[in-house]
Amino acid sequence: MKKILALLAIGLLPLTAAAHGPSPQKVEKTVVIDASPDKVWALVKDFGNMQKWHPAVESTKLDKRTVDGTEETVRLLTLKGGGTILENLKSIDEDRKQLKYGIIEGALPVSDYYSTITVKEAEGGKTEVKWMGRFYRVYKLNPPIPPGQDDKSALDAINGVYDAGLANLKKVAEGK
Amino acid sequence: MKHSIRILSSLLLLIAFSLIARADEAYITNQGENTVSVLSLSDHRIIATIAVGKSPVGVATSAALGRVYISNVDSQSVSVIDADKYEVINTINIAGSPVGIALSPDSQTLYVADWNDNRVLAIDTADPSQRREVSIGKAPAGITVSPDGSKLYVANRDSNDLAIIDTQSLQVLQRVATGEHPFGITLGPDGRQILAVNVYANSLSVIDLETLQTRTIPVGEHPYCVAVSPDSRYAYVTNTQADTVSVIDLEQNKETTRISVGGFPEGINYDAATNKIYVANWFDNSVSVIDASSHKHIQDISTGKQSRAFGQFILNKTSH
Repeated sequence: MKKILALLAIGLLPLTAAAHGPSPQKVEKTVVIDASPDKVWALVKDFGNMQKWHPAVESTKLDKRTVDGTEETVRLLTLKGGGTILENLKSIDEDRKQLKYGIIEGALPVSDYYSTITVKEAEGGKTEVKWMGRFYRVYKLNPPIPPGQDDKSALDAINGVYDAGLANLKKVAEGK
Repeated sequence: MKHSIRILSSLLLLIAFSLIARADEAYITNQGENTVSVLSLSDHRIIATIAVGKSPVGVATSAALGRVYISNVDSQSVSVIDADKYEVINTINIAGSPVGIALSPDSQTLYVADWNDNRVLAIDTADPSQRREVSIGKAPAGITVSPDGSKLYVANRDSNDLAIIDTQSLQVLQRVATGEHPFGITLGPDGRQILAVNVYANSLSVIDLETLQTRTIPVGEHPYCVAVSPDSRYAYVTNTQADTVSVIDLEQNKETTRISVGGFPEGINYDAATNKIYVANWFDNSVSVIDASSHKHIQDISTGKQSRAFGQFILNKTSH
């Protein structure tokens, strides 16, 4: 994660081969945690406290705002090492133990980002957490694609966010 | 006499069996693995997986030609599949970003929306080097053709409207306002109305093709695609960020129920032969099956990575 933020800061990201109009990218990661689903779900669904389990998040500010007459819940993540991400809550499904949210704007090199985090029971009293994301790269027009705005930059960033987040969620939930 | 009746009845049985053997099929594009899963609609098994171009999205099927056309957005091409052999027999190069794809009712013309260069190509299926094009609004997405082949309908995603194009002259006749960010479209089976799904507005626009009057019906979160029942009574809309299908009563102009399906549902088609609805799930790499009479989600079938199936993906093999 630190590496990604550093790369972002200096704009040192590779150009890829020419590709027209972007396709949606997907990242899917799972982790098995030796803790109860309820305990893990309590951490995941706490939309205003992501700093409790994600190592890249310094602080979380929960807020409400009205867009086109509809009120929505948002959070402003302040990242360690600077930068912010503004996210909106899509839904919290208690029955399925699933959180859905999107990114309005922020430090990550992605656009149209949408994500689900699903908590479910695994064997032996353990818990499986699945984090899925769908997003596009930043640059949506014809090549040349500016550095840091290509598919690889977007994928690398989100892979980093999920790997670091799930590894630390496991640590926190297992009390290690 | 009895003997001949017995022969006749066994012949009829044979004919019946051969009809059953030719089930309808769904061609599901798997964007994440550059393949198409062929799903038999009689037993819900995957009967073939066909390698196509990069990031396949759109599908158009032709029973008359026994072919299926697949748009590959990242390899700038259309794969032509022989639906008897389940293999690619030709690749048509399309400069730009081919996404939406549709066939004329006589299967002579393939229409491809290139959403990067804001145009639609009209390609001769017998000789793909013969092509015409029409410039259109911003980011043409879903496309479909009128039952008589005279008009082409295009959702201009970034212009928030639907274009009606004369297929003879390739002139734009009309542009009708939709909601914000129209993506998937379909024609009502009675040919009287066209439905466009508005991704950012979370709504469905229903446009009367005679009066061009539009009604707007709210649906779920971030909707993509729509199918209509054969009697034109119900519309079914995939809500990608709610993992549901909205069932819209088109007489009452409102959503009557919501059906939970797989993760991030995109393409949706109604199969009249089985009265089932098929939905491709991008997050879950699967197809959800809905029973149209009970509106119940009855099954999920594993497909390939990131299933999209944008367009008319059911090939009718039974009525020939």
